Amino acid sequence: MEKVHVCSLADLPPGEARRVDTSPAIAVFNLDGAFYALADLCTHGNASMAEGYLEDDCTVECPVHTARFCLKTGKALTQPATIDLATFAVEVEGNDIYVLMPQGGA
Amino acid sequence: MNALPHPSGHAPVHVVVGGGQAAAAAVTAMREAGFSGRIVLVGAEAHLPYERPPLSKEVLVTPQAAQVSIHPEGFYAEKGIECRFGDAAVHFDADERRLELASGETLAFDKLLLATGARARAYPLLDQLGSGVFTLRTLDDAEALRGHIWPGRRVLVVGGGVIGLEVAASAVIMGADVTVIERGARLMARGAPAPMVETLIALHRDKGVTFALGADLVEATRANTREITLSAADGRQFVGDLVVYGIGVELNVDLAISAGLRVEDGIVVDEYGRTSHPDIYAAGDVARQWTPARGTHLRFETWANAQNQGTGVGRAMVTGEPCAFEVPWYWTDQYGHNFQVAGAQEADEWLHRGEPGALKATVFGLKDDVVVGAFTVDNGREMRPARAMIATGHRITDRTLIANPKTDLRKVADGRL
Repeated sequence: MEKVHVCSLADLPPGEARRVDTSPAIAVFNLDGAFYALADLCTHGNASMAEGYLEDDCTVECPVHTARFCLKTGKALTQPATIDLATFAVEVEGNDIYVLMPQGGA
Repeated sequence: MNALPHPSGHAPVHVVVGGGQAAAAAVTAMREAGFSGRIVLVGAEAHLPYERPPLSKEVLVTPQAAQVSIHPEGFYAEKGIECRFGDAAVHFDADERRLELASGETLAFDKLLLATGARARAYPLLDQLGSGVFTLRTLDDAEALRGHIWPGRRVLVVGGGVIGLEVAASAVIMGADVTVIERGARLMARGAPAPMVETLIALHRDKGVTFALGADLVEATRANTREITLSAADGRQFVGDLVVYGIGVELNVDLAISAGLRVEDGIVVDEYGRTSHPDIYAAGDVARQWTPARGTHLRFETWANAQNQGTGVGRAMVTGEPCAFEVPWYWTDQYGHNFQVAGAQEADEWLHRGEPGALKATVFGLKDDVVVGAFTVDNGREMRPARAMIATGHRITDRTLIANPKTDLRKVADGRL
């Protein structure tokens, strides 16, 4: 596992998301204080999930064609996406947020 | 009331005619709603149901990366959905509840869903040229066209609607020289906000596309060099190597008409998707649905309508619940830019968040201060709250607040601002 720094807690307030330029890129979400990380590239089209619309039901909607994914499992919940997004573990240490990348990429 | 025992003792049978988005959404929704009877999906094309939006973009430009099938092949068997792809429905008797296929097979049904969609409207003036003339409606159309576009090819796109502009953008990306020829005075006249059309035209011109508006074609000829010349009534001439035209669709309503169903610019259905015959339903491009929220029948030719109405009618056939109203919405992707449009496309006033014409913007259409429509340019993030504001008829009291791109629209939509 490679531990990648995302940002400070203050830089990712509730309801917001940040893109981490790893390979592949990862989107990290703060849903009311709970952190989730998914692969950033929508499985349907060329869209950044960090630009997506965070929903209270623990989903994120792709900003381009509105496919919805589960933040916890990455599952593709609505069309046009039918392929799930990869998920990543998030760790908070002190005032900083990290994601854990498997060795050799996801 | 799932899988009601049938009077004659057999498991109920739902037959769905059509191999597109609405049909695939409907059969999926029937199973999700708990229907355990037999489902048969009949599609005239010899393909798994596929998405149409990529046909004018990825299938042309990056075919190896294009995903078009809505579900993988195994999905249908896994869900117990019997498929008859490459077999056309030729006739049905609504009272006898039997459908005949071109192959000679007869399917007995309890309920039938017509999701027969539409076909590209033919343009005989151009079709008589023979080869070198293309439309774009099906996967086979897109694959046939792809091999004819390469750097330096002169492509004449006839019809300045969504399909025409998307093909123009893809052809430019593939290196072609593109002229868009439109009979009307403006592009996308059938359905795009005027300020969005301005942005699109500027984008296309910047990429080298030539536009000819108000060009009423009267002659199409091919020289010995295989060069095609199109002539307009006002004397303008356009010369190219191939023609792609997109001038709207013809609805596939022949089956419905021959069965005696009510058809008026689409198969007329109620909020459950039922036609004038209670066992026959319709959804997608071909259906004109009673919409209580608008007090009228509405028909849409969009991906979102096919998906949502297909899902709603598929569910209604099982549960008896009406379809939910959704604010009309579509997208178009051109040169990698994503444009989304929701609600009304005519407005008294357009309220811009960001600079007019910017390639990242959200713009609201207002009538008497009420949000009736919206479009986004590379800003889909704001489309969800914008649609909510259209659905609730949000009244704008503070224009400066809305016009400021830093204002969080989610808070506006849910009343926190």
